[in-house]
Amino acid sequence: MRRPGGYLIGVSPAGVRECDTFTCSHCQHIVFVKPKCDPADMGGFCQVCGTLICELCVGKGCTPWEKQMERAEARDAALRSYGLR
Amino acid sequence: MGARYASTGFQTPVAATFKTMLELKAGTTVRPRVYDFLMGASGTPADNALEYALQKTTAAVGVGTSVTPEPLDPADVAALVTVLEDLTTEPTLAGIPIFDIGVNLRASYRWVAAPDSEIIIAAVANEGLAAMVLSSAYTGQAEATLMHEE
Repeated sequence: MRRPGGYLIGVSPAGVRECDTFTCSHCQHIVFVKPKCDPADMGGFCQVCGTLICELCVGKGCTPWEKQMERAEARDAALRSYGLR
Repeated sequence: MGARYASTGFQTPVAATFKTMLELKAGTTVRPRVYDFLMGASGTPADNALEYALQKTTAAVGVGTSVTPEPLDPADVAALVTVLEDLTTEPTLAGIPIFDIGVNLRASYRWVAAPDSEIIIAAVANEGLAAMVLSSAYTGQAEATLMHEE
């Protein structure tokens, strides 16, 4: 694929398996991209944030991983300021 | 580009439920970015099925042996993350695995991220990433290497 997000190499007695991957921008799932596969089989394209997503995130709205991390970090900072962590 | 580190770990014995080979835990000041990982087994080669997985972990930490991440550039300071290997108490896992693959015992797998496609861990204390393994037949040792940038 053009501009893959990663590359997987597997070495076994049966041979070497190599494939492109991309990282879902919503949940960070690593998706293996089979050459010439149906694009619908490997996930989708989020029209809101304009990035590739895995099939588990298709149809579940747009919550980029960056936004999820910001929420978790803000919550953690608040709890620490209250002395609860 | 931040400082890069490599951490290696193992799990023995491999069991029929997921056991963590390596757990990388973040601090509160930096978001570690995992850009490379390798998984394999060092036991006597045989035709057994193993399953390797990577999954995010939350604040309940696991119990294992401490590992010091090795800086790839000797001039870099010590890593801010904490790393455990050969966990005896599993951490609390979050969501579903972000990487999950079934392999032959004789096989090893490596994944490398393209720039800006790394696995990013939030800067929340003790949130992290666990490299896990299971096998219903193999009870030897499995290894993992995680490379991260912070």
